[in-house]
Amino acid sequence: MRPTVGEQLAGIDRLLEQIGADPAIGSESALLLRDARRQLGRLRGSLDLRLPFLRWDNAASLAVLQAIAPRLPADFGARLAPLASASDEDEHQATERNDALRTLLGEALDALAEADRDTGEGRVAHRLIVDHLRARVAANPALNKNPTIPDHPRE
Amino acid sequence: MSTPDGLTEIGSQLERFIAARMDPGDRPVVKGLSRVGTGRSRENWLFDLQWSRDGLTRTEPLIVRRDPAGGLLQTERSAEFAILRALEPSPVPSPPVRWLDADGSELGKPSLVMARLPGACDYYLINGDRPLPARLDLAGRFCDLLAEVHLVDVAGDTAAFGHDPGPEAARSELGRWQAVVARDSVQPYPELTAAAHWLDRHAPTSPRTVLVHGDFKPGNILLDTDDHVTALLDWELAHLGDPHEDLGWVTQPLRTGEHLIPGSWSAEDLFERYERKTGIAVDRAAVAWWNVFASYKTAAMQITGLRSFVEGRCDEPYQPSAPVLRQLLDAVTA
Repeated sequence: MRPTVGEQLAGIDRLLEQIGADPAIGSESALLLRDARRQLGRLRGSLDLRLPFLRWDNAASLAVLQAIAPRLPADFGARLAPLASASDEDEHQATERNDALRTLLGEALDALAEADRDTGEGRVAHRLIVDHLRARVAANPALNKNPTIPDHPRE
Repeated sequence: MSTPDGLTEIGSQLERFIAARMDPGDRPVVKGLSRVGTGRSRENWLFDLQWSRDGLTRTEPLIVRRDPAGGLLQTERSAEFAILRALEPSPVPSPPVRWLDADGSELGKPSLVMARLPGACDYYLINGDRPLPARLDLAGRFCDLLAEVHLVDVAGDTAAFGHDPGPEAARSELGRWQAVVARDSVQPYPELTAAAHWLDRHAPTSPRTVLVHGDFKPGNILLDTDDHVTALLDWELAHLGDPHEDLGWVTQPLRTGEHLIPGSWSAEDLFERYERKTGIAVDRAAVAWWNVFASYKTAAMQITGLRSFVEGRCDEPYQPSAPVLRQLLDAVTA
């Protein structure tokens, strides 16, 4: 459907640029306009990558949680099961699933800290989570100008 | 916002507020009110207060710090006011406070009014345009200023400085910022969960209780045109705690450009000078823990900023940044 969201955001940016070129604009308004264009630029830069990023992160988070599930309390598997089949159809669904998976990652860290963080298997489980979180920071288009989203979700 | 209407309203509020605290015949008038854009956590309004007494017209430059609708911090103006008042007889240069509207019932938002001292702040002064000897001199004097803060006699004055957490200062501060994360998160942050576990497991004990500034940086140090320090500003995060907290804040890897000079003024130089000035032995391992804590605290503030943005109370879409999260995850796996 044209114009795309990205094309419309580019159009809004052109309008803001014209407003900024008006010599009569006040200094405070000019600063606000600069901030607005900076935010718009960030949004345009990350827009197309948001859904692929969320899908990758959901798949990778799920894989980590499934791998460490045997180290976690029994109810963990039951809470994970519906998330394994949840949809990533659109950004809203993908975000909801992402929040749910990341909540479980946090709870898994709590459980490992209380139980067997110092055992070999506990350390491996902890390391799996943290390695994934580190990859997520690098892949997040909201945090990076040039994010590196891995090609193949592990789902 | 400094719209003409906003100016009129705040100016009128200030005149009424101040008049109620001066002699009836003083007739205080607020002149030249303007908002300054510095400071991400407070609204700062500058003005000159003019009044008459004994047939003479007097003028005093003042500043009012008001809580913003939203931002990186939620702190109590009354706590900041009490600390600033307690600092007035101390050698630490700080702005004398005049009046407090703790609940915002008179000035619209919680606010404090204090003297406006001469000078300017520059975040990156230490690595700015001045010749190296001048920058080294400033870096050394900033270190001495931090030492002066830590040498303030706080014994027993909990009314002014708040609770003394004693040897458990690290866990006390961790708990404080964990509560901020819990209160303000609009989405889960397992990165911070991992970091909090690490911080809890490795928390050092405090060797002694000092007044911690909480956000010590050149950006909060007011210098006049002769490079004399006229005031250390922004005491809203000040509290009693471990001296290593401020040392960890100023040497945190993400802010070395503000405090250290590559090849000329290292963290070790700072520690050695600080030890000579204070007599407090610097535990390098403890500083390393506080370095990590500094990243956690920064992330917590960014989370508060994100909630403010989502709720329409501030215009900047803050969020825990990639460098901050990387610092935390590196510590967890070190």
